[in-house]
Amino acid sequence: MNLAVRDIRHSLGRFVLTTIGVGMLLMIVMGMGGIYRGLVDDALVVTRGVGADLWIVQRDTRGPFAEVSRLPRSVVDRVAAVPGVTDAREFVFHTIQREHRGQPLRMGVLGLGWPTDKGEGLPLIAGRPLAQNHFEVIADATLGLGLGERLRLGKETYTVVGLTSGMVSSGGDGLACFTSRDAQAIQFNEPGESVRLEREARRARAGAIDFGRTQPGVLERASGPSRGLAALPGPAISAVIVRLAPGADADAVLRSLHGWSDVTVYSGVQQEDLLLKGSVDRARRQLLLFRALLTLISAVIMALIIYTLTLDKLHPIALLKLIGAPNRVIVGLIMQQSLIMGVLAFGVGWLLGQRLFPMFPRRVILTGDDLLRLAGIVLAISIFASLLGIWKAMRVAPNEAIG
Amino acid sequence: MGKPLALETSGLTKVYGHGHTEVVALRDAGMRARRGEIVALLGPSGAGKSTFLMCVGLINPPTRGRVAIGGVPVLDGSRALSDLRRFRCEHIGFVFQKSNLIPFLNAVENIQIVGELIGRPASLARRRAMELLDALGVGARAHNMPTQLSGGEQQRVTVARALANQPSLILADEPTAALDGTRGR
Repeated sequence: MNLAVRDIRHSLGRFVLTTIGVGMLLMIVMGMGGIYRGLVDDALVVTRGVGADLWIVQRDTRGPFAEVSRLPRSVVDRVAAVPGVTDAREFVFHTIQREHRGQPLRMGVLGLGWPTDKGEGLPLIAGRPLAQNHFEVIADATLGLGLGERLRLGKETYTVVGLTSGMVSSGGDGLACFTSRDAQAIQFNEPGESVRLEREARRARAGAIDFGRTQPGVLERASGPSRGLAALPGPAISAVIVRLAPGADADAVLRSLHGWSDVTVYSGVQQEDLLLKGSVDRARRQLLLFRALLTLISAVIMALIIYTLTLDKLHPIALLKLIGAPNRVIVGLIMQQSLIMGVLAFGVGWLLGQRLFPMFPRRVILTGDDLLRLAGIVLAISIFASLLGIWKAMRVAPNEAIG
Repeated sequence: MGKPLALETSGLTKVYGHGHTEVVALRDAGMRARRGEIVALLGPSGAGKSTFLMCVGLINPPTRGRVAIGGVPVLDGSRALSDLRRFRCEHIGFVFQKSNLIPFLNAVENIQIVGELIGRPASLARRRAMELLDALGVGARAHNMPTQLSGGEQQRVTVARALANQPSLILADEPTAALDGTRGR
């Protein structure tokens, strides 16, 4: 006869409620671990999705994610010419927050290297890749935009032609993929008035020097768009992403690029490291600390619950000793209850988590290893929690059963 | 030569406390009871009847004295049998004024557990439990929890539990207080 099961059956309502409570606590512990893993995964979504062997950024910066990086577009052509490089693309990335449908909309803007990259490699769940150089966007589902929806950013309007899943920035913002030209236009968008003022200022500066007075063509160009002035570079890109040819000597390519005085080069692994140690490091450590604290709190709460359940059973325990039950029967009663509660609470926590985690604003990723590890911890907590109750039970004398 | 001794005690003394708070609850108590005998301890309140039962029942061992149950010396001064609890389970049955049933076991389980504690298979222990409940007229209430039984029914279940392991000795402290005249007899 299993005394633990019978005692549970006798106080089923209380046991169920207690188990659900502990289960909810364990769900939070699971969630913390899942949020941590989601945070790390989100941080690496773009870098892993891009799959670059090398990242070339502005000199002495840790861009393009941990820090702002700006490079002239011409770097792409220079890098493409390096032996061993099979593909060099511009990479534009920045975060914006605009108003859309009366609500703030925060997104990571990712520029795709049109026409080489039209977004075919993105995890599309609806719609299609980009089909033209301007005014189309592929948006992540977390942004809440629908296919065909039109988005006003700066002076232009963009149409959502595709939807992705799981494409978020390191900050957890949904990604919107434009062509790199459109991404730059969004990044460097200026109000019309400031453009006119700059042109007037440029014309005034040109007119104030001899060269401008003697060369009317220069004055005319000064009044025009900045791309007409060869001395003025186009909008900057955030980085150049490089794929090496199969069998290429990576060290030789690196040596070559390290020699350039205007850029810094990171490998894919180094870029991931920068991300994890940079923008997400504090959040990671905070979550880890919370997780550890919650686990400790769960252990204490379970111990108190089992201790309280044991206090309620002191008279039956004394009676069991009176009729001759050995200590192992009583230890078994308390420890089995604790283990049953632990196992069921873990199950409740997991089931609740499956329902609730998808509703969290950030991804919660639970791996099999994490669950196994937590199950082991719950097992240990259950055993530890029963020790307090067992200690109390061992101190009960048989004559207490008869008052 | 009479029947063998079921219980023999000599020089049983129980002292509580020390120094000026010392209380001698029992002093040099001794008795003999043979198998099949029914012995009643009568005395005023505070005479030490319950203390004597606790000592003989190995629930609250005496300060000094000797106890032998079924011819087996269980306590002799400071020396005691190594597993008093198991001995109690196998050889002694208890019935107290207030029925003491385990609240999370039903009537038959309260008796069955005693059999299982000495290693009897569950089916055998259950059969024995049902036989006893039927003999005491509460067989129909076998699956009721203690809170669902009347005081008298609870006490009958307690008596059945005391008899479950066919003990050498049954110790009863005002056992019939909750029973009617017929059942009490």
